[in-house]
Amino acid sequence: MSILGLHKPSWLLLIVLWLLTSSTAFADTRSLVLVTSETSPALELSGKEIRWLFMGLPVVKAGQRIEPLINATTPLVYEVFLQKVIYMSAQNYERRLVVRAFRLGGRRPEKYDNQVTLLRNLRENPNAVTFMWQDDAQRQAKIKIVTELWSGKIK
Amino acid sequence: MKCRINMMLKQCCLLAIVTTLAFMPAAHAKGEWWLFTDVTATKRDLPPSLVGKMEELDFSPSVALFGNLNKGDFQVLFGGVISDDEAEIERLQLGWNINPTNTLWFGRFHNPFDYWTSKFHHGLYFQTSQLRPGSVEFEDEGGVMPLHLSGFLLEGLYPTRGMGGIRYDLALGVGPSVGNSAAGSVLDAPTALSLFEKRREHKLAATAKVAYLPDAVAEEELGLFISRVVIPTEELVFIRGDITQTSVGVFGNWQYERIQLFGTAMFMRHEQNVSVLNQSGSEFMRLNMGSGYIQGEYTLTPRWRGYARLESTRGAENDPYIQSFAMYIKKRQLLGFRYDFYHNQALKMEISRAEHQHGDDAFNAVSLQWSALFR
Amino acid sequence: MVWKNKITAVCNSICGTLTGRLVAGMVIIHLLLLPLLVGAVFYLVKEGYETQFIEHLRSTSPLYAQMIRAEDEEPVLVASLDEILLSGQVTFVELETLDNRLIRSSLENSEEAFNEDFFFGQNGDQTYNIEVLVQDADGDPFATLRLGYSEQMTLRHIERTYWNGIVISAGYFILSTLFVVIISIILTRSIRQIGETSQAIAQGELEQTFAVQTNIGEVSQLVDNLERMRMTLLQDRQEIHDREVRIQAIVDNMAEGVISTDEHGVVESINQAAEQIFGYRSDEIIGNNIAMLISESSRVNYDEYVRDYLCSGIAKITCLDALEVMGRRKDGQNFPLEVAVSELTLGGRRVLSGILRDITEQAAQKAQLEHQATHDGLTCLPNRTLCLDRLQQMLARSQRDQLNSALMMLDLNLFKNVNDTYGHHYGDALLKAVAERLQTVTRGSDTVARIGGDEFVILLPGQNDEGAISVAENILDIIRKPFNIMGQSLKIGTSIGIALYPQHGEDESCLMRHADEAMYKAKRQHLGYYLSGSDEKLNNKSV
Repeated sequence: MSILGLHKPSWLLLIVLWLLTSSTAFADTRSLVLVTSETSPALELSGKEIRWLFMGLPVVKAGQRIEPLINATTPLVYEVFLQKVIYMSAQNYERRLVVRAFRLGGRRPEKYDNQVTLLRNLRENPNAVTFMWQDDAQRQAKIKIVTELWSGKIK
Repeated sequence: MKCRINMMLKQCCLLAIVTTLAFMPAAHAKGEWWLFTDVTATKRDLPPSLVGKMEELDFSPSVALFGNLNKGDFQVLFGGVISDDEAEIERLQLGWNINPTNTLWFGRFHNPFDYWTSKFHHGLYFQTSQLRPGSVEFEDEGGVMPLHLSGFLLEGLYPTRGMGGIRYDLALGVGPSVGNSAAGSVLDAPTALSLFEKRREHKLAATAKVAYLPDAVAEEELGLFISRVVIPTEELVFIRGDITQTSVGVFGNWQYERIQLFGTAMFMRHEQNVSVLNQSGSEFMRLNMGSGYIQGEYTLTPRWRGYARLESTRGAENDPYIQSFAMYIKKRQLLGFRYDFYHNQALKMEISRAEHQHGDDAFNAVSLQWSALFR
Repeated sequence: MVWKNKITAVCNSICGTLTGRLVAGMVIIHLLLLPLLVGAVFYLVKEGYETQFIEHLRSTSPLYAQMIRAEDEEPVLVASLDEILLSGQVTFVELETLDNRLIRSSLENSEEAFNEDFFFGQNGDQTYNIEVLVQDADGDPFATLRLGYSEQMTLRHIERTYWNGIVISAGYFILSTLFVVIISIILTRSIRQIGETSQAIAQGELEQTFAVQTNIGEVSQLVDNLERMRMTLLQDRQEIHDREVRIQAIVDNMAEGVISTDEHGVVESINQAAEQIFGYRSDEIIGNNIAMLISESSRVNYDEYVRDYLCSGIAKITCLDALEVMGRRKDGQNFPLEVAVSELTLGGRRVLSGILRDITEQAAQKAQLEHQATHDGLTCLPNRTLCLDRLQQMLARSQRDQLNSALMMLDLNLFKNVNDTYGHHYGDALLKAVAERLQTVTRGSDTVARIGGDEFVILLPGQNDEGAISVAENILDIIRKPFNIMGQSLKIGTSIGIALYPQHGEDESCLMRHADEAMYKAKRQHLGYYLSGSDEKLNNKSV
């Protein structure tokens, strides 16, 4: 018996291929990277400094204070950042930032839900850094990767 | 009241002027305003000696506004409180970030001694418990130590190995004076403009605090402080001249998973000229006392947190200065529960037993508080 | 269909009460809101547990990584990993150096791919996998620590919370329903009390007070208003009663009888005077037709009278437009009754009200007056007026029937002598005796009248001359006999003039004149009687 010119075994093969290629079946290897504007000077930040930075503590490089931008455009990138850089839950992280600002004033890292706004601010401020997927960063113009924060498989 | 309103208006004008001057050149100042609201209902089981001095049934709403404006290396920090019995600007600080790790403030700020005074300001949402420890109570609530100073404050963080850091605070300015109220002595805290007013009402105050943070981004810390303030006492009959208050203390905050433990122990010395009964002249007295508190918190569930606190003061019985503060809490034990909901609101229930200056003034209290933060 | 009707009936009965509506409303509101609330709480609880779980593992994982030191020998490292496993929070631990040397893995199959999780329950394996870089003293990574935290405990907490929440919600629903029922019963108790009292008052028990204790403002206000209304009603009723009593007293004390009937004549009320008039009690009359109080002879007149009134609508007034009928008492006695009827409209229906007067006395008085007006007071004989009236009637009848009639006029002889001799009271007694004797010799249809002094007229309808003469002779004989007046024997005579109809006249004056002339002839000629226009021989017996 054939359906649309295809015999039964061919259909089975197609179905198996579809399942195999489904993103729910395979884990992709992705990298989370720290990025900045291409006009920024060369930047080297250690893990500690990155953590300090995104916790609202001041980090100065080449006489300039680095300004962190929090990328919350997708839940996954934000959660990976929290798990790999901050080691906290979202609720606790945001509370820590608020409490710190309440105690000492100062600026809290700004959180962005919209990628367009995030990238625009990143490009306009040479002292700003944020994090995103490496493949996203490579697709964007006028930004450069500072360092890799994490790489691993995500199912 | 009229005087205080005038003062508040003056401070608001100062804030407006400074803000405008600081940020007028550019329009990209960043800032935020937060609104803290809380409503507290308290039932006290008062002994006869306290009836009339305190409310047996109290219902107190209050609103605290916190503002934080940043532009470049300058920032303005504002904190104001409106409640059923006061309307005051509590914090009004103009800051200059000397460098990323050091900020110099000018204005009215919280005296940076002790763990509590730096961590918890006005607005009760962040504070786990409803009540502050007696030794760090606000001036108008019976506090014997200056919680507000007016002058300069230098805050900084020195990174150490690993993620740690050393935080330090240095404050220099003017402190409170002692005034009278129906409930006994009360400290009149300085305002943001007190530096420019009659100096004899507010005199020199200085505080230095240093704390070690194993993880600069975490809450744990261990520190010590020293504070010295001269308190004019024109309103006190039995004390001549000024009181010099010197405080030295240690504090710490330790957190492990669900448990948090923090507290302070301090030593206070009051140097004062005390009038002698039936004699002219006065006697110089140097009186020492100790005070401290320890609070433990346990996270039962993501939303429920239980806490308990013990406070105690020793050696204050012979101190005329302390004795004049009838509402000062000498001892207290409290137990409470906090329930968080909606990410910005909390309900706290607390039972406490407190002793005032005189041993027979102990009373029990039960209170329920709703607090929230809107931002 | 039957069960549907039953359900509808039950629903209607439930929702017909305030309690029912409160409960129904509460149930509906809870059924709508409770799932939303419970759902929201469950979501928050779940989120809270998951957040706490993630917070815990993200904060402890670096701590575990700090326990691993690069300079430690492998057994020490393994011991550290075992210690991590023994903490009870971690179900899986693996340490792999950066050059892919696996130091320790608690996985049965270490070849299995390690997939790190970033969300709770991401991979559906009830384990949250997290990977942490282990750093040396200089901060350089030298190994990867992989940990697996069991999500089962958290899931159990969440599930338990769900069940607890459902149980609590159900309990809350039941308790709140019961509570609402109880509260509504308590709240509506005052309303029910008001209802009961209102019902009693509606049934006439105005003395019942609205003694409803309530602290519900609206109900209390209602009670106050109802109580005021009751007091007003009570007051009005008392006033109405007093007015009725007053009116009844007035009616009862009226001299006239007052009877009210419906438009069919059925008696509705009767006053005391009417009771006395007819001799009945009110309960014997009320409900019966008024015809029982009117004699049969007058019934037709009475019905015409009422009919006429109802048609004309003109109210009758006693003594002016009243009707005289014959009433009938309880003992069967008929009596003259004067009735004046008027109409009322009460409650949309016609009520006839009659004012009655027993005019028996008045009738008797009237008869007496009439009698006095037509009869001689002394002899009780018809007087001149009545005599002339009867003479008219006699002549009319004689003319109609073609009959003869006679008229006699008498004059007493020597009467004046008796009066003068014995006095007027002898004369009066004599006249009375003469009147009596005259009536004995006349027929019942004859009329004996005294027309003045000692003159008498006798009308003899149907009599001719012979008959008249016979009567005259009888009269002469009887008058001739002595009269015994107060012990005195008195003898008088009489002179009689006779006129005949139609011979001597066809009208009263002619006949009277002829009779009078005949009487004078008889008197002058000392004849007993003289027939007008006849010979003297016919006139006999001088007196």
